[in-house]
Amino acid sequence: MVKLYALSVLYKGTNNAIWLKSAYDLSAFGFFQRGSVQEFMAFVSKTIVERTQTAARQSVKEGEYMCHVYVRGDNLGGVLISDHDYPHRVSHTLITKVLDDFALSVPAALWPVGSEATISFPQLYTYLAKYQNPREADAMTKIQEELDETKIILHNTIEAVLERGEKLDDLVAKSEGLSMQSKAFYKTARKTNSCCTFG
Amino acid sequence: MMQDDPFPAAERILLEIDAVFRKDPKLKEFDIVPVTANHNKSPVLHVEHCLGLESWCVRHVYCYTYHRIMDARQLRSRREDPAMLARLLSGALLINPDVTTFWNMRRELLQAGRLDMQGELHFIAVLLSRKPKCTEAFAHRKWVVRRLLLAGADKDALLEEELQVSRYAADRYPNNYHAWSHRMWCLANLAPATSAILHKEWAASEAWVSSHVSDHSGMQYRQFLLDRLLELKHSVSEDIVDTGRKSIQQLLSHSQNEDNVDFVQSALIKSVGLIASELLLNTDLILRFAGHEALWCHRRYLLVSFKKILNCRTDMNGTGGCRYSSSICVTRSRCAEKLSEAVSSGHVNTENAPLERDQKLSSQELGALDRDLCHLQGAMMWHEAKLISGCQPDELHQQRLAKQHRKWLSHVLKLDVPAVA
Repeated sequence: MVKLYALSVLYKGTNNAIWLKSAYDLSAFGFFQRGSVQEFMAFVSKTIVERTQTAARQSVKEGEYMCHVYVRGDNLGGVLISDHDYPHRVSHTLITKVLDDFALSVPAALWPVGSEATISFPQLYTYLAKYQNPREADAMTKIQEELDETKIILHNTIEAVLERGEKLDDLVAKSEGLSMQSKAFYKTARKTNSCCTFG
Repeated sequence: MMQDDPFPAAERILLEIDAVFRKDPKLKEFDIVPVTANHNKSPVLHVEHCLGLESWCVRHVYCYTYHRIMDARQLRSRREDPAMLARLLSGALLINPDVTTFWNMRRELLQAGRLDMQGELHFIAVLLSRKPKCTEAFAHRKWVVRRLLLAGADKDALLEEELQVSRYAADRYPNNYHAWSHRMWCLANLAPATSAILHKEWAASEAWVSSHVSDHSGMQYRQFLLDRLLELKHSVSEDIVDTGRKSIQQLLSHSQNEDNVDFVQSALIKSVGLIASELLLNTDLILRFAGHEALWCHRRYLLVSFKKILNCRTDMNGTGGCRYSSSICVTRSRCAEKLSEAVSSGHVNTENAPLERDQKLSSQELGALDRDLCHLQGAMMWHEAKLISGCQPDELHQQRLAKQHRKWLSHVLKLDVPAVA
């Protein structure tokens, strides 16, 4: 499937990253999973931005998902979560474009103190809906050309992005952004993926 | 397992599930919701036409229903109350739909008139939301549909519902072979003889394939549609002929031959046009979404179909005067015969000429047809060569697939790939 699931803009502070605005398209997930999936995507976005250097791009594979991240020189970060079929180049093009737009409409002074509630950037949902079809990105040739000269680091698991000694399981257990139900959901998913046991 | 666990709440849970199915005809999803602890309230959730069962009770409910059902099966004389048995089966199947025995017992209940056929279709649709590629569920569905057909149900309404259900299942699980073969079965058994439904499906499948570029099963369905359209005795819709004509022109305009062939042979417009338009779509997808083997496999299918049409024409004519066809090893497969019949019926058998209504080809026109076919084959190979050389060198997987494709062309299709400057 060629699909975009989540698009978020974050600010990378000195110690941690904060969410400024996020948009989700979770129609592909079951009703009871959506809440947890959304929490996880937010959690992963934040975790990855915190572990990406300033002015760098990364793409991370995790299971069926691809997570693309770009942190600009001014510490504004964008994360796009898609599936494997969505062209990677288009993903990075889209992040660049969204961050440019965001920087134009939201003054930089608000970034370090902003939150989902205080920042207005409704275009994010329009972007997410429009670029479900990657053909729409054909017009952004200028950004694409610039991208061709940039190096994008590709990681095969999310664990590869984490710092030494860090474990995803520990981060999930510690996280305050994840509800009890999402943690249970994570545990079930881990168990189902690791081996086939019933009951 | 937990054979002696009576779990008194199970009956109540099963009743609740049954009640939800009864009172909500729009119910569309079922799922098991992971929770950490039992909060001493009902584990059956019903929100926005979705049914959820909390994970803590799943094991107990399943063990309970399993043993009750197996007991009932063994002691046939002392039968369970049918309504109770139906509830037990619903609960067990929702949790684990891969048990044929359960489905068979369900069939017995349906045959005895203890369960409603329409209700059964609804139940399966809901069940498929959690297990979208459950073979047993699709097999059972076919069985129910067949019985409804025998009972004189409305074919169109049934077809529409089946198409919707199979699309839903295909959307929810990648490469869902069972969903797509169910769809094929429905088209073969429920669709009217007219071509309208094929056209609709052809257009819808184009959109689907364009957004699911690694889905082998979705593409296999498209190949099925292509074959049906090629076999079609009626003429295809104006839209398809038009796109076909344009695609042929486009294909020819890319070839190294500068003289543009004006295509007059209407017999070929349909079949060659269909394949040409599909090839162009496939080319676009391959270049846009690099590194998906499903697309290249689909391409092979198209090229084989294309070559069959070219072959059966030269074979039938017996002249083989085409400079491209000299290396073609002609094998008349059954499909090729069928196609040659379709292509040739215009001048061989004017009684039931489906394609060229009032055209009788003279030998001169036949010569022209052969020339056109030669041009087409040349253009096609040129197109392949362009595609192979057009793959980005930094996409390693794509490069590998392109290389395989070139080998396949020369070894399997026995055609030489021209060099592209």
